[in-house]
Amino acid sequence: MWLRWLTTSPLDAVRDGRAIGEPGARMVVIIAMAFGAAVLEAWLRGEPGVLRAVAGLVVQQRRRTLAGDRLLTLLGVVGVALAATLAGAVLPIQGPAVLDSSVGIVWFNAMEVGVWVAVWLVGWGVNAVFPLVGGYRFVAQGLAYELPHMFALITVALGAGSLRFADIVAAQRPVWFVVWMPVAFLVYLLSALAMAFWGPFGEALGRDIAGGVAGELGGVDRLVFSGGRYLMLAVSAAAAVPLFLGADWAPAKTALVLAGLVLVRQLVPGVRMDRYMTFAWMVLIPATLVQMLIVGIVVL
Amino acid sequence: MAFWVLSVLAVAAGIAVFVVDSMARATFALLASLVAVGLTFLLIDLEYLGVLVILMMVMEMMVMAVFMIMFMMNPAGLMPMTMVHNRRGPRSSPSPCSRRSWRGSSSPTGPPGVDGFPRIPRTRSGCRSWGRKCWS
Repeated sequence: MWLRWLTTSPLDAVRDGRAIGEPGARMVVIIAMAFGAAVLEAWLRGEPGVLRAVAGLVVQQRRRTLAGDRLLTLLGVVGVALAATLAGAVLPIQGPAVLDSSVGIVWFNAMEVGVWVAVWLVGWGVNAVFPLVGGYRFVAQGLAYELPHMFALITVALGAGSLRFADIVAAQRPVWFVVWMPVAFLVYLLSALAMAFWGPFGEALGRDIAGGVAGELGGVDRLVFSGGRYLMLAVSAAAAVPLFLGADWAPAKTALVLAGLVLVRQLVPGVRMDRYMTFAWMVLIPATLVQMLIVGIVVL
Repeated sequence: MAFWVLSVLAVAAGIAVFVVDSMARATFALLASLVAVGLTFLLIDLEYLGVLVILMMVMEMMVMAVFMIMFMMNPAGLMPMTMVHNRRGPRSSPSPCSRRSWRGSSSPTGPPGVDGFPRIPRTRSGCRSWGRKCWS
C-alpha cells in the first residue's frame, strides 16, 4: 500500500478515472486555514497585515550565528512544516485522506513528534544560549504532554475499534466521540496547543528568553519556521474533528476549533513546564486512564 | 529498489554516527538510520510495527538529547565531541597539532587540566574547539 502510494503518479489517477489532486486539495484547505489563523492572530494583536510581515521576512537577511550548525538548523527550520504536512496527510477532511493508512492514528502521532526534533534542532543548531534553553523547554514540554495525549488517542481508537481515521469518522455517525469522551477531548485540545508550541505552551519561544528557539532566526528561516508553526496548529485543529467531532461540516468545525486555539493565546498566560509536568502526570494521566476504562466498558 | 535505497541509507547513516564530530549530528544520524529501518517495515506491509519504530525512535532520540546535556563533559555540549574515545591513545596516529607548542608551553598535548586530563577535549580533525582551527 505504501509503495503504491509513493509510486503512484497523478497520471495514474487520471487513467483510473479518479479525481486528480482531490485529496491533495484537502492539504490546501489546511494551508489556507493556517494562513487564516495567522490573519486572525495578527488582527487580535493589532499588528499590520500578515502579508506585510511575510514580505518583510522575505527581503530580510538571514541571520548567521558564530560557529552555528547550519545543517541542523536548516533541518529544524524545515522540519516543523514537514512534520505538520506528513501528520496532516492522514486526516480525512470531508472525504478520504491523502494517505489513507490503516494505522493513521499512530502515523499522526509519529509525525507530530517530529516537531520535537525540529524545534530542538533549531535551538541547538544556532549555537546560542537562549535558543538552546528554549529547545530544552520544548523537549520537557513534549515529555509532559505526550503521555496524556497518547492515552487520549488510544481512547478514540478503542471507541472506534480501529486506528484508521476513516473508520473513526464512520464510528461517530450516531454520536460524536466528544459526547462520551469529554476528558479525552479536553486533553487532546491541550496537546494540540502543546504540539504547535502555541499560547500557554509557547514558552519555548518565550519573551523571557528573548524569543527562545526562534530568537536567532531571521529572514526566510524565520518565515518558514513560523509558517510551519501555524501549519502545525491548523493540522492539530483539523485532527480534532475526525477524532472527536463527527463527520459532516469538517472544514467549518476545523475553523471553529482553530479560532478557539488562536484565541486561547490571548486569554491564557504561559505555563511553566515543570508545573505542567506535575499536573500532566498526577492529574491528566489518571483522568485519561479512567476515561479509557469507561470507554472500554461501554465498548465491551 | 526501495529496499536497497533504504538499506544503504540505514548503513550509511549508521557509519556517519561514528564519523561526525558533533554529538547532535551523531544523535540524528542514528535517528536517520533507525527511521530508514522503520520504513523498510512498511515495504513488507508491517505498517503498525514500522510506524511504531519511527515513533519510538524519534522520542527516544529526544530523550537521549536530554541525557546528552546531563552527562556530557563540557558546558551544554556545544563543543565538538565524537562517539569514539581515546583517539590519542597508543594505537592512534599523532594529532596534527601535537607536535606544535601549545600557547608557548613545552607540553606536546597542552597543559594538563584537572586530574591530568587535557582541559579541552580534542577532536579527530586536530584541536578544533571553541570555533578555532588550531592552537598555535
